[in-house]
Amino acid sequence: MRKKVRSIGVLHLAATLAFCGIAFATAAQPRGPQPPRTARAAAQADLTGTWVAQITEDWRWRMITPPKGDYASVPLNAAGRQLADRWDAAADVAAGEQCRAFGAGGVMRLPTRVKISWADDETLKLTTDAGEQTRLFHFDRKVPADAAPSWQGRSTAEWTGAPPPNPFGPPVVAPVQEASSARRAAAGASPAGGPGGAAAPMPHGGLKVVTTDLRAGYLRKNGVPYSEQAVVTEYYDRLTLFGNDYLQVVTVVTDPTYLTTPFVVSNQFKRERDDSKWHATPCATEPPLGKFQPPVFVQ
Amino acid sequence: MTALRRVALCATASAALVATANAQTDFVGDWDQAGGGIFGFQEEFLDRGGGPDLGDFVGLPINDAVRYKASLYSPSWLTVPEHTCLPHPATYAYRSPGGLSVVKEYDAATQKVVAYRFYGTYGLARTVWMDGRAHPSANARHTYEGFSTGRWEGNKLVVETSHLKAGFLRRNGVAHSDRAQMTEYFLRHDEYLTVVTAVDDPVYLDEPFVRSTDFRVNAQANAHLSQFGGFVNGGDTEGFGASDVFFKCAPADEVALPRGAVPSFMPGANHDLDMFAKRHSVPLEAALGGSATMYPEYAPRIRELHDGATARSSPAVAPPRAAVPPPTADAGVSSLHVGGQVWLVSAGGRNVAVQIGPEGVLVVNPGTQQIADAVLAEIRKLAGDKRIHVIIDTNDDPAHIGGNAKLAAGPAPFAQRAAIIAHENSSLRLAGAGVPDRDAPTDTFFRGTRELYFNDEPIEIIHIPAATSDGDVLVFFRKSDVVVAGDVIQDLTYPVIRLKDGGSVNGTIAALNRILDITIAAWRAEGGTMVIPNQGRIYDEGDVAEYRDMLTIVRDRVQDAIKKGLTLEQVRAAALARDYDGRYGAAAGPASASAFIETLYRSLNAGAAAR
Repeated sequence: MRKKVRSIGVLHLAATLAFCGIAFATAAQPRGPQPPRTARAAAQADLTGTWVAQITEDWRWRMITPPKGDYASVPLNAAGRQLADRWDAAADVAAGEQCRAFGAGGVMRLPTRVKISWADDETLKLTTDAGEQTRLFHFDRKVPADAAPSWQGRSTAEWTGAPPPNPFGPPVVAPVQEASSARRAAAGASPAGGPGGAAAPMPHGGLKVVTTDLRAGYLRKNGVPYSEQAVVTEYYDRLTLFGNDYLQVVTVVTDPTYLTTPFVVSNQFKRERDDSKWHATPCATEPPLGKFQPPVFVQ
Repeated sequence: MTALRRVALCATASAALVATANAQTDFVGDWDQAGGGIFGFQEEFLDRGGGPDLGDFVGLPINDAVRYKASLYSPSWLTVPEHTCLPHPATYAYRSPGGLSVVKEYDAATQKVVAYRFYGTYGLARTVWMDGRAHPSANARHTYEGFSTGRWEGNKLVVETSHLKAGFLRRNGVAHSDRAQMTEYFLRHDEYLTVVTAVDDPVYLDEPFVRSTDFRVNAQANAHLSQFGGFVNGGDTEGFGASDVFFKCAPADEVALPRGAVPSFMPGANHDLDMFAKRHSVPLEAALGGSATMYPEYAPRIRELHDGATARSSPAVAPPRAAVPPPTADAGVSSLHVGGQVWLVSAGGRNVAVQIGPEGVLVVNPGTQQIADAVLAEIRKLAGDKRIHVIIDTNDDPAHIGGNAKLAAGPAPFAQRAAIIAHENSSLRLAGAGVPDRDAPTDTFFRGTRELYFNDEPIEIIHIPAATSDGDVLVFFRKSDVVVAGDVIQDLTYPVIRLKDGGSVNGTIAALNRILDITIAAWRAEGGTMVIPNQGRIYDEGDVAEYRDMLTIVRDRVQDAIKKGLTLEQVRAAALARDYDGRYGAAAGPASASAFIETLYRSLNAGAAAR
């Protein structure tokens, strides 16, 4: 038995030596100067295009403005509840703060369309038609000059889900071939992932975005607060469901000021064929339809 | 760099990379709700916790058929004995309270991952096969968890599920049919697991319904699972799910419901349909859902409807899905093992039940003359040269008896014909129709039950008076625990009730309830006794109950309409079965939606006249 184990060990060592020898030999071969790959070239998912939110969950907290005091399922602490109970939409407007519900902590939860494109090789841009917000996801982690707190804060991005990089050779994942829906439509093809669409090969990774330096805003339109201390972590993935192309966004909001635990929600966006339904509207909050009535359960 | 250093660096780098990859994608382990614990819902709080209001269909891409069905849903439906142990179907299970536990199963020989198994929430334990196996045939039975296969798409696990039973999307009557399919993505992000669930149902949805559920790593492994029914650790000593009864469940009479009663509101009688709309000041149109209510452009319409102004914007209604043709039975020949000694042979869209044992072969409903050779060939595959000794016809339908002569003829050199058993009423009608002797029953009975003992198995042949005809019988294989339902269950369509041959809707419902008296579910309203319909897939108690519910609910509506004095044309115009027509309405003929309603109307009116 011991002899057998020893044999396996010798074989394993030999295989490792052979693999490493090949790898280092490859690495040692003279190569030309390799420019650093840009975030765009290293993309693990093509998120570009126009997407529309499908409000299939939390409808009455998202599609309409909920009544004041309706913060069910948001892990607010006492200070957060007190602030939510004092919400005054008119006061927000008077103070020029009508975009509080459109900050990074809440905007992806709203009934909105989003458009994602590359601002440059290191920056993804996401715009919304609801509230006309622009978010910039920086892969190079350079702090913008105007780093003051803002509705959309400062977002750093990284690709996730890539296969382990090969330190000894060329990249193991082919770069994403830019194929925005507009270009595909111009070419007569249906959107990526759609039936019959000639979609470009897409790596199946995702995007992680961490946003800080936020102005205080709302998780829901009825004044459910997050503070300037909040950190918004988001995960973006592309999915294909019954032949349709979807963008899945998981949002985790942590806030030591108003939340007892992270607030976790996930949202679905369906790819739009074109921008014909894009309807840019400034930040605005409709008054609630009625007063909050706590649910009554039959015991 | 020395060779040793190279090797060490290489090994370290490889180990680190493998660890990183696993940490990104692996979701084996125990998970809490995203907000912690078993009730830590941070989305759909009411729906997932205390339960949704009646009439809360917002954000669901439902069509008119299921809106009608859900608007007449009564929560008392859950008190029907066959429903008291219903599990949450896989399409809803992860919305329930409770933790989630995921384990991998390996093949001992190859040490490859064969499957993921999911435990927890209110759902049944679920298996996702990862070994590349195909989904079962169309005639295989359906379950609440469905049949699932998985594949990796990068770091995402994609799961495709078929063979689902009829279930629900929201716990207030918003149903999906047994033709629903489901695609899921399991996404691991740091300490979070997100399960994206997409359900598509040609019967009840205008477009796929997509939602997602978030979980967080449970560092106190299994603590919350054990709180929820003890299927992991044998149960807690107190509280919710204090014993394994919570998960195993046993049907019970919760209220004094008459046998066979299926609670459901009559059209127009659900005065709580606006419960959600009133409570949240939401316009009723919005509350009743539909694709349009999912999209941003619907928001202005909500305000307009609420304010009572003439709505300027038209709802961006998604074009309704084109009518889905009813599935046609597979015209090919195939066989499936059903239970014990009983097999299902399907040929030409008909189901033939075959019992095979040491004494030989017994066949129930040989089918038409046209498929007799194919059926015989399939039986030979299963039974070799064992002789067919007994044939049972569940009634006199030519689609059952056409193959009698062919299958009854014994092979040379025996040339001894099989006995052909049927109820006397069927035999008399066949004789009256001039059916040749070679196709006619040789052995009839008059009493309620005929008993047989064949292949070391007791067999009951149970006459149901005035079901689809006056000669219908059920065949119950006691040891194999299989019931052959004959024409009482068609699966693919409404039942064809032959009024002129002594059939009646109430008798057909009585037959379905008789089957339910026989069947015993093995686990949470599924499994256990198997039932073979005249066509389509294998049923169990849950499926029979669904079919019985359909017939009973529509019968009650037609009866209510008759009491109100509606004429047949008025009843037809009211489309009282429109929530079931997409599932059971045949394109034409006696099982079409129109013919079905007419049959019910005439059957119930005849009953009234007789009284």
